[in-house]
Amino acid sequence: MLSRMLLDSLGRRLSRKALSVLAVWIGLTLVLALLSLSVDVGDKMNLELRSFGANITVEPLASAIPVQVGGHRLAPQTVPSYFDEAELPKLKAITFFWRNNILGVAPRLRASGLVKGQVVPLVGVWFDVPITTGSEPLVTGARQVYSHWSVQGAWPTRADQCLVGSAVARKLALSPGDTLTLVAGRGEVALSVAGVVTSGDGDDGAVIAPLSTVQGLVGAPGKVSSADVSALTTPENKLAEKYRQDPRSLTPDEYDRWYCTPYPGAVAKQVQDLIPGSAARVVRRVSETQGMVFSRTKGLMALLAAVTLVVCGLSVTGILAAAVLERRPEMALLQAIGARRADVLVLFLAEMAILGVAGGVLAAFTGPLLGRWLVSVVFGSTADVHLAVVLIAPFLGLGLAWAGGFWPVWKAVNQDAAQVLHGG
Amino acid sequence: MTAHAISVQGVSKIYPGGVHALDGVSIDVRPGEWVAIMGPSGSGKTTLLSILNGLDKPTSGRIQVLGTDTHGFGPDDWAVFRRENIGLVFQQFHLIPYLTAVENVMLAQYYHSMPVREQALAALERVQLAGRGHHLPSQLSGGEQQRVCIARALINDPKIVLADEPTGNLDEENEARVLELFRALHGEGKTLVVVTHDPEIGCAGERIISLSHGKVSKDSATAAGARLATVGGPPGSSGDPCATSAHA
Amino acid sequence: MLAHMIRHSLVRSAGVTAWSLATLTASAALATIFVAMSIDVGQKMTSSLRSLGANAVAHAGQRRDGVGAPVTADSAAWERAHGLAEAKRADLVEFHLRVGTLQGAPVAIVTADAAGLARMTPYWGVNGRRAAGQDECVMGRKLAQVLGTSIGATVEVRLDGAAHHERYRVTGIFESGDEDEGRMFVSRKPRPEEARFTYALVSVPGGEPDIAAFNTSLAAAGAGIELTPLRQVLHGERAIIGKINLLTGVALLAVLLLSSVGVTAAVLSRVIERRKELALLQALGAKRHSVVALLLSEGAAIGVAGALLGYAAGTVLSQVIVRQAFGVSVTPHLAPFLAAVVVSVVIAVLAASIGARRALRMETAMLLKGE
Repeated sequence: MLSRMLLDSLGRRLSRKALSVLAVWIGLTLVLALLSLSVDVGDKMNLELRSFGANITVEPLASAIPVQVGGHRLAPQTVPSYFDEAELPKLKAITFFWRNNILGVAPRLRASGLVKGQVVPLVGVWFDVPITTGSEPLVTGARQVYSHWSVQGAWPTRADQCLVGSAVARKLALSPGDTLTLVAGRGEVALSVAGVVTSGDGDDGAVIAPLSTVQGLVGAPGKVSSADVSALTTPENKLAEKYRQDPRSLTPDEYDRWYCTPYPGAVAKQVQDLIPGSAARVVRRVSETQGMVFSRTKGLMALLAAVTLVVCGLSVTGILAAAVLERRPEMALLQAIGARRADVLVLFLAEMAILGVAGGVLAAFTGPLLGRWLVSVVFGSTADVHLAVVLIAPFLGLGLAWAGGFWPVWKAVNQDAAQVLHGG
Repeated sequence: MTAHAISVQGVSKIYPGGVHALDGVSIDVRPGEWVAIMGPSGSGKTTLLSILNGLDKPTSGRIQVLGTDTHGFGPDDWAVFRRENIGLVFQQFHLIPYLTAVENVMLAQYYHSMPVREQALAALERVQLAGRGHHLPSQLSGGEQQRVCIARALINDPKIVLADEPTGNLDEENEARVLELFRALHGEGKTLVVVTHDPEIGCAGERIISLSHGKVSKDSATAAGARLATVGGPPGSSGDPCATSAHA
Repeated sequence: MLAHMIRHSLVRSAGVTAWSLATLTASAALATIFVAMSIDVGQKMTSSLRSLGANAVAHAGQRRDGVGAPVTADSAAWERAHGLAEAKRADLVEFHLRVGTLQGAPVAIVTADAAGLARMTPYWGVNGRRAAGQDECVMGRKLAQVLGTSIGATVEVRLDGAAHHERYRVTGIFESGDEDEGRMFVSRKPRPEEARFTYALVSVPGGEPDIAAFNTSLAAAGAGIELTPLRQVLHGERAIIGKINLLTGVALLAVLLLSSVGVTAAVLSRVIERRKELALLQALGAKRHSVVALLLSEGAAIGVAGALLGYAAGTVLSQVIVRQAFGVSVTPHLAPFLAAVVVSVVIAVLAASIGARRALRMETAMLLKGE
């Protein structure tokens, strides 16, 4: 009888019930979308830190240090040292522990050349070079690693194109579309200027050309003088600090923990071990900033998500409560014809449960979809649908429905039934 | 004590704000008696009925129904007691709008014992609603709705029927039908307590208790009651309030 | 009379009123938090990142015009730059770079005020300690490795083609990951004729626009010094703040949507509860618009109350959040208050108007007759 009554009640008041289901559906869709967004927000926010660009530089083990300011040598040139470009794809190879933390690699070959009779620093870099050794192919280079570069014009796509730094462009009156003749050690090459780059550092005073072009020009095939690496890291803590002070002070246990945590230092150490004859250093200005941003935003985002979820939950609860409150006379009548308070409560909670679960099941489909869309809008990347979020939806619907129903119903059945029945 | 179907002793009801809706009311109702409670608006008659059916609680005083002392009853004790012993008829019918007539009746069965459709349909037949069982309340006239309400009140065979202005929202024709049903119930020996301001309904019973300002101002047998009084012992004796109206 | 009725109705259905008020308060509080944070987080994040050192480099202006060896501006120019920095509450620390020889190899020696150096390079990882006295120095790890120098050692730097020498004790070896790691830093002032190149690290409050403004005033002052923003850090910072604001926007939108629906449901349920009363008003001769006015005024009353409560709660909460995240308090603004008022009142009045529509649609005669 109870189930018949419930079904009849639901069936006959379909439009009213549909409204409640709709409220739960919309509400839960938003809640679930935010939930799946907040599940992702930590990782995605961390990934956003890549916009800071390279946080590790790899250089050949040097026997001498060039004395220079912003790429300009202040002392007589030392013998340049190189390492092999062919080593770099190993960073994404399946055998490298931190392959998934490597977000981008930009090797550089530094030289100098003559343009229009002036000595100009020459930098060879990768432009959109695919690395296919890893489990997932990565296209990387200056565009991905130096996200702070603002390029007026276009990025080079061919070997005979180049970028010129903004200072060079001003000095030599070059603009996108121009052609320059570059003279260097092994001859000369005509390059067309694809774009003018503003970087805010020494690159503003350089001509930046595809690595292979520069390698050919200076006679150093397959060689690079440094590489900038953008890696996903964890802010340093006491353990990382202890290692930095003295690696030998770590116990074997601590060392294992350090080695298996993506501290900037640990990743740099393993990059260095991977590339023979190299020294990898953490660019501390970047890594420290990333660490601070990471720690500041983590709590902020979690708190924001929590507050939002609570308020959304309250709203849905309130909508359901309002729907129940409308039916106070019905509850009073049930009591009058002999239903105990618990009987009334059970009846209403059962009905709310059906509505809640129905809304929850609908939201299980739409919520994660909306969440995915939000992730793509906010972070411009795709997100997986979290199975947990889908599974939790009907229960969340049930919980919200009961949370919304219990208090008003219990309050109503304890109220003065006589007054309600007399239209008071 | 068990001789009384309902025994009210010194019941007062004071609403928050100090309004004395009932002020020391004492009434005894014999089993099978048909009592009308009358009085002007605000005299406390509806409050008295609500206290008798347990939907409201007295501020002080004692109530025994069918020999059971209801002192200390909680809302759930009353609910259980009602479904076993009391049928309620409302002025506003209070049918559940999304259940059909027969389902409204079965609902009372459900809380009492077991819903049986045939019994519910029979109850509707008894109130001359055969064939209307599958209509929703909104598809029924006021008189029909009231008869569904009565059918629901009777489905569990209660010993006592409490009615609050049962004809307040009805036209004369339907009023007559309801009255006829009450006579039949009285004939079956049910105890009937009817709150009304309609003298015609009041005088159909055996006894009229008049309330005024929360006190019993008059307790007298009607003509119908007087006939009975020669057999049993009349609770009140002086004057017949229906003398004029009944002959009018 | 109207006011009396409104007050009465709000008090009588206290539960619904309380719930509506709570929802509106929560929405207004969130609006306050979000607006306060979108104003403040950028500033606070920027200022807390300023504790990580410089965001711009200043050097003689000619270098940007020319390609080739850097030029040093005269000390008068730097005086002017210092004056401007003070006016803009920016921190400017001068660095003098000389080239000397150490164990026969050319080495860049940078002179900077010890306290200023520490302010501009807090991100350095220093083993040992920073140099404090005139005879102490810190050395980049790369340089120390090449030279085989360790903490506590004394080094002798030859200058001016070995005509002159200075001795320093190495108190610390630092990691920075940039070209500083190939240099040594001292605090002893060089003789004027020795300075090969002077530059400065500057920490400008705010972001790239503020640096650009500083640059404009430098040019106007004719100091011959230019400021170049450290774009790598600034870019990343801007990207992150943009994401935070976008996220807060999404969250705010969701909350507003749901609380609108919620408050509307509450108002509707109250209108239904009061349908007889509203019908009676019309029967008594109240024009339709006065019924609407009654409901809307009620909505506005709750809306204003919600806004005030919400603003108070939101301000406290955002104080807590920002204090916890950045260790500083929120600067009071007018905008969050306006946001709270707009959000709360708009939702409440919107809900009330939907309720009013519903009330007017109900049949007066039927309602007065009974159920």
